Amino acid sequence: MSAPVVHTEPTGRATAPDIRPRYRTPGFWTAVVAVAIAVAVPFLVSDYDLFNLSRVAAVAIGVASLNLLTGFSGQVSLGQGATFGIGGYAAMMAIRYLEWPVWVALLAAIAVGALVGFVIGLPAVRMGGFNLGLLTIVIAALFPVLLYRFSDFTGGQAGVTLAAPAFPSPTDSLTDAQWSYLVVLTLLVLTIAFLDQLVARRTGRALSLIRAGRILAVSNGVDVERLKLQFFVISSVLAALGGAIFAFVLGLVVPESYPLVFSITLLVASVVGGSRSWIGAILGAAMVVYLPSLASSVIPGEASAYLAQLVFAVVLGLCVIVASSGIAGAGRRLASSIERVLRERRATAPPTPPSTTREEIR
Amino acid sequence: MNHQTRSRGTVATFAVATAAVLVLAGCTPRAATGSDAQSADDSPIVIGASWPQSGPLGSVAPGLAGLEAAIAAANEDGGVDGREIELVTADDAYDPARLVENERKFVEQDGAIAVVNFGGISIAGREYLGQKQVMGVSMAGNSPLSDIEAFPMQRAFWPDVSWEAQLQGKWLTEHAPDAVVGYIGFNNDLTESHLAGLAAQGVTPAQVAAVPPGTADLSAQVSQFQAAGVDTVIINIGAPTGGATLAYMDQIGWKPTVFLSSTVSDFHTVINISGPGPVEGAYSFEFFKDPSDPRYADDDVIAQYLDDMEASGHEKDATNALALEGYGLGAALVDALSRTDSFDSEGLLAAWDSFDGTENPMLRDGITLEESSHGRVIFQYQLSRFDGASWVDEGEIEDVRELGIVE
Amino acid sequence: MSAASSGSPAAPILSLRGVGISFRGVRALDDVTFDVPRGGVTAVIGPNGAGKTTLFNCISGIYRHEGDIALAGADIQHLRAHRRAAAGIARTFQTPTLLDAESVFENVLVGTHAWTRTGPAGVLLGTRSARREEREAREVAWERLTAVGLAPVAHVPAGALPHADRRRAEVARALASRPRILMLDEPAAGLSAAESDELLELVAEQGRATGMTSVLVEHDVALVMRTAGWIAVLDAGRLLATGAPDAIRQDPAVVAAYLGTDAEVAA
Ligand SMILES: Nc1ncnc2c1ncn2[C@@H]1O[C@H](COP(=O)(O)OP(=O)(O)OP(=O)(O)O)[C@@H](O)[C@H]1O
Ligand SMILES: [Mg+2]
Repeated sequence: MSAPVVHTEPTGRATAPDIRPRYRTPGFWTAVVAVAIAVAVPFLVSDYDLFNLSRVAAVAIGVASLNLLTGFSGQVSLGQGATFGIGGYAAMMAIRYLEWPVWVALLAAIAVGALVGFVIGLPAVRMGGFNLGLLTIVIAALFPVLLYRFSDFTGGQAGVTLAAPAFPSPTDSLTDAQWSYLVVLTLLVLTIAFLDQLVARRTGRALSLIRAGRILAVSNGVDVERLKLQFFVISSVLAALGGAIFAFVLGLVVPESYPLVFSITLLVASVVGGSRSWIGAILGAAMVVYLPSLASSVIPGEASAYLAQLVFAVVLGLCVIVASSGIAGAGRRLASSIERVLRERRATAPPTPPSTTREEIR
Repeated sequence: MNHQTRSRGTVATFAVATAAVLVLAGCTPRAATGSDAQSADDSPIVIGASWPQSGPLGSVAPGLAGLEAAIAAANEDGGVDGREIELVTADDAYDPARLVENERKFVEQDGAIAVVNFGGISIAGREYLGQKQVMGVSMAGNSPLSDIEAFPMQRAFWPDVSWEAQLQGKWLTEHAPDAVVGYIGFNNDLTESHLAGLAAQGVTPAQVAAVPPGTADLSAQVSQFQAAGVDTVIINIGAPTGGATLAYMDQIGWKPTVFLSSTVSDFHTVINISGPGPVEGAYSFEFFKDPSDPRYADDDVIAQYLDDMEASGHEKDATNALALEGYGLGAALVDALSRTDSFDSEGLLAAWDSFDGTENPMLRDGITLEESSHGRVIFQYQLSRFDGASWVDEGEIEDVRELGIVE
Repeated sequence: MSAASSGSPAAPILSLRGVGISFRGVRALDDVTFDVPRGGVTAVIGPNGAGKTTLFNCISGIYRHEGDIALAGADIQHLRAHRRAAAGIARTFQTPTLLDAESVFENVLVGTHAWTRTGPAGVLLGTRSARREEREAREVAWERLTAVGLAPVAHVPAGALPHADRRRAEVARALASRPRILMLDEPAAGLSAAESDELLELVAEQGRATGMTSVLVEHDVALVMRTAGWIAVLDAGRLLATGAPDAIRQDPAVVAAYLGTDAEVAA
């Protein structure tokens, strides 16, 4: 391979690899199976489990928004939890004080998320790296303080609650919890489909270049600042959307839900799940939702909070050391090695050049 | 599609399916939940308790231990009407979101007819309990919990903090009309309620220090108080702040009149931290007993409480007044259950609202649980003064209903 | 300026006027003024640290610099780097820089960013024009990939390529941007003589086919003399001479500063 013959016709094919239709990618079918199972779930498990699964789905939108930022556009935010909370407050206050319908309130959260993303994103994109981390950490730390400071407006410690379920079931054959879960699941699937499509093709290539380095990106004609700002805004919009859905599921927003630690937890969930993987975002979100109560059922009392943190830290450490692409990445690698073993066993003909669409669902 | 990607897809699909099976295995099947399990006559009566066991208010965990001891003792005695009381508990780390999550689990999964919790964050769950028509009882004295018009399913156990504040204000206007008052409390609605109570009696503190839980050093605020000529200090803040502040005031030789709010006047919260000396001479309007106070060393009710704590494996928390208060809350619930017509939320709520001179192990002698008003059941206080070893009664028991503080 | 600066074509593709830059007081380029003739291969030579790579970075807009640069007569010094790439300035790097985790094909495909126009919204909606453009980009990339002989390894992650193939992949990526000017920073480094000849012949052919101009930074003087039609010599940030290879070879200042009196040069 060190000296390929330059001007001969290559073996393999003579034309560009096709753009493979999505339904022919294995990731697509994995996603179809996952969605099919997820749709069956509300008919199998209790309403309380559905409530928790709905929370997982809402947090997953938040983690996915962070994946978009860190895993794809190569930026970091330690303030995503605050944006998540801002979305929650925007939606809840729109319903409670302005009496807007739920779907309009969701749009309000999206608009506020875009605004916040733009305002933070403008300086943030210029800063990058460490300074961006600092800026976002300050925002995350300030957010709950401001909620208390303007308690006439935000309800202070008591927060804002919903008088009725946000997604009431329209039919007697489904409980509110079942319906609400299905709505949230739909929103999650739409979000992931949106994200998966967003980071494809030309945009995806520009993002790869940005992650590889600014000079490489601009030399190939990528407007790095513009794209980063666009993605910062999109990421904030999705974080706000996730936060609004989370608030609806819980029927409540309170400052205590959005401390700085929550922002950091989201970031850890993104890294642990796999910041380039959409399924990873769901896995990370499941950790955020289930770990605290799991930990307190293993060892009750003061130690449980530390156990949850310990598990988080250990998993994060493992990810940094052995599985830098998170749980999803480790799973993908496991799949590849199983596949290699299978292939060796079959000892079939050498592989043909691949189609070059992204092969995994992320 | 070539077999390379196909097998990877198969593996991925298989992995997703496995993960799904694992998740489902951790869930409760639909059929087995909540109300269905309730119907049988000998099935246990389920009560859920979401309590801070970790986090910023992890120090109140003994309250849950007391609650458990009371329920265990009741079950030991044959339960209520032959039914066992099942207390399901969960940690909320004083996080309102986790509180609501826990309440959902109690109601939807465990089929609880009532949900008990500690403090101010229970406001977050009122709306949900209202929707589900499940009774909620909070230990806390926060005034917003008195709003039973808007939240008819929510009750509170301790009296409204503003009532005690009114008693303090009333005492001050009668005994020290020229007092210059300084107030130390949490930076939350508890302080607002307290100040509102004082204001209702015409007392406006010259100085207010509202600080977050866990603050230990108030030396700056204390010197500000001194500079402003404060001669009366009202303290309504938990460990370690109250004790540390009293110790500091003693250290610098400042001796104003001190009022401790009842719920933060016990040995664990204050006296063990500051030492008895600095608390000597302090006043408090008390309604519950403190198992650490030597005056109850021979008290029969406290002895029974200590036995029950030991029997349920909670002896290490037994000297904590919060444990006795949790025990009292448990006893009140058991009493209400023993009087209810139906073992559901409605029945329990009706019974809870109709205490009538009911004795309770945590209450001072002569104080009883009364018919509910403003969602509260305790209305009587005994002014007490710390003599350096023990809280000693001063005068008669006062009833806020008779004083016109509560109509 | 040296006597060798005659015979420059009338309409240069690139003209540099007083280009200069300092790094913390170090004058890396100073008043560099010359024209790159349209078409063919122009070489920029000079000793280590002369400022050759810095000049590329100025032209491609990576550095803010003094002076004026015009591309085909239009001023570009106010354009930011990505706009210059879109205007048709492509380059390779002294150390080949690839997306190591991506396939070789993907690495070439990213070069098409310079002339494709589909924005995030177009990608998201998969509009007809977006799909058409994507297809075209893939065809161009495949064609350039095939031209540099990397088609057999199209699916291999770029990180697994040997050095020579990394250079080829970079050249293919730059070519995929349909450049008007291709700047090659030491493309022969690490390649055998036969390999570098092949690569440069490929570039020259591309130039003949599309009118693209190549600018070559290279230390291999024999290769430069064989390949370039026009040469600019830099030394310590200053332009020493420009001219045709024969004139440069004999320029006493250039000989003194850089070429020496090698038998190879004479040959
Ligand atoms: N980013 C930078 N910061 C500081 N100094 C720089 C920078 N880039 C280049 N220089 C300096 O500018 C001068 C020219 O460097 P440049 O890399 O352009 O030389 P070159 O001609 O490409 O050399 P070589 O043949 O070794 O690649 C050197 O002294 C170098 O140290
Ligand atoms: Mg160089």
